[in-house]
Amino acid sequence: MEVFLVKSCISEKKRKIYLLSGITFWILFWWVMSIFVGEKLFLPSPFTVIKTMLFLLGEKEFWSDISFSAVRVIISYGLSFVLALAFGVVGGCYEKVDILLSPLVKAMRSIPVASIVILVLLWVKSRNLSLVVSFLVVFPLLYESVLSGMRNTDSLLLEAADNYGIKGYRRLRYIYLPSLFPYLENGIKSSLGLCWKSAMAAEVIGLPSHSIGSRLYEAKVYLDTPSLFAWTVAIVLLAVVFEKLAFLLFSLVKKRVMK
Amino acid sequence: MKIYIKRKAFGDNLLFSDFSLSIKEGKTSFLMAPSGWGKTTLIRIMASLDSEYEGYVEPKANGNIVLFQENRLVEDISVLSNLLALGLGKDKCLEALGRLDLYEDRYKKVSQLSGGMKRRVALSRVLLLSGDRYFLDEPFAGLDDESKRKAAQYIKERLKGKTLVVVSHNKEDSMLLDAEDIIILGE
Repeated sequence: MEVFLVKSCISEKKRKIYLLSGITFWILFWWVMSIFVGEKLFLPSPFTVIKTMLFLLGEKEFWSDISFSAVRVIISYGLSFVLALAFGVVGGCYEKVDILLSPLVKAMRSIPVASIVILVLLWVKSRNLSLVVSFLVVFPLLYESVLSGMRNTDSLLLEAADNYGIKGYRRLRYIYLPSLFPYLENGIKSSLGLCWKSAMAAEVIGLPSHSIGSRLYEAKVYLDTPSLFAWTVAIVLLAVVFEKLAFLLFSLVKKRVMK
Repeated sequence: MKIYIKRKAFGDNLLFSDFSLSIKEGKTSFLMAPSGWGKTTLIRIMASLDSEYEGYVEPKANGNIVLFQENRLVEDISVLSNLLALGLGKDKCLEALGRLDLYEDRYKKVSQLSGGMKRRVALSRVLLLSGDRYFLDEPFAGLDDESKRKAAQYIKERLKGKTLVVVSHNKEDSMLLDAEDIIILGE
């Protein structure tokens, strides 16, 4: 994986205006389409969805369902990140470790989420299914990002580090980590959304009680399309907040390391 | 230190053939050669960084410290962090930076420095290390006269009594370092 940094020629303020215009355009498009379809069972209007959302927001169960799913996504992502970083660093330093892990990682990347869900359901309780499934989806992506960063560390720097006796923790902290950050950033960007997607897919199949997935399934069974849309919007918003928080944490750590 | 290179080639390009050189241990030797002659390769062989040649370097030493031709600094972290990577403590690093007029710039990222400043950081890093033999490849590249003078003074203080091999294309540098031996190669 190569990291290319392209500097945007649009200012931050203009970018926000364009983004807001884009969102408005697609909501308007959705509204027009809902009028065209004319049946909320197939495509509810944005107003119907907002109304349903406001109703859900007042429900105690809504928040407990969200916290059930969000806690599992956070634990799963945190675990994936820590283990991918640890194994990626070790795999980057010792090729034999990477050779040992690579068949497993490649298999994890290639197996369809649906197969993983069904398989994992045989081994773990449905309430922890999303945790395991999203870990299996996210770990290979983050592991490969870390490995790419390790492999692309400047060989001249590594030779100098050898000559100057920079080993162990100091080698990781001052030589590898500055090189890893752009790769980690890309890895996080591509895996955060997938973590939510796979967790929700797992919950819809595993149907643990008090989860977002089971609420999505109920909406589908009762043909409650506005609820389905409202829950989907909630998931998207949660994923956005999750992403913002993750990048805030990432930038804090980066700032501390890159000083 | 005796160096004998029977053969060293990069592909079809033969760089050294039956080449021998003697360096006085504990002294400063100054090597001069035209560009493209193979100075950097010679340093790598002497410092045991390159073992793909026919010949020998005797006696072997464990602590070969090299100031590489490229600065080989981590650009995205601060000057001080580049030195802290050596694990010798902050005080020693700050002292070394102070000696080369870099104290005020200690928290600047290396990428923000000029070429000459980067060279001084790389030099201060090497001078913090303890070794038996030191190989400095163009140590004063990009430095102005005042910085050169200060750097040379610091090198002489720190590496007194050590085997020091300096490669440069500028003969005046040998006077700055009070080199005992000036070896002109490639003639």
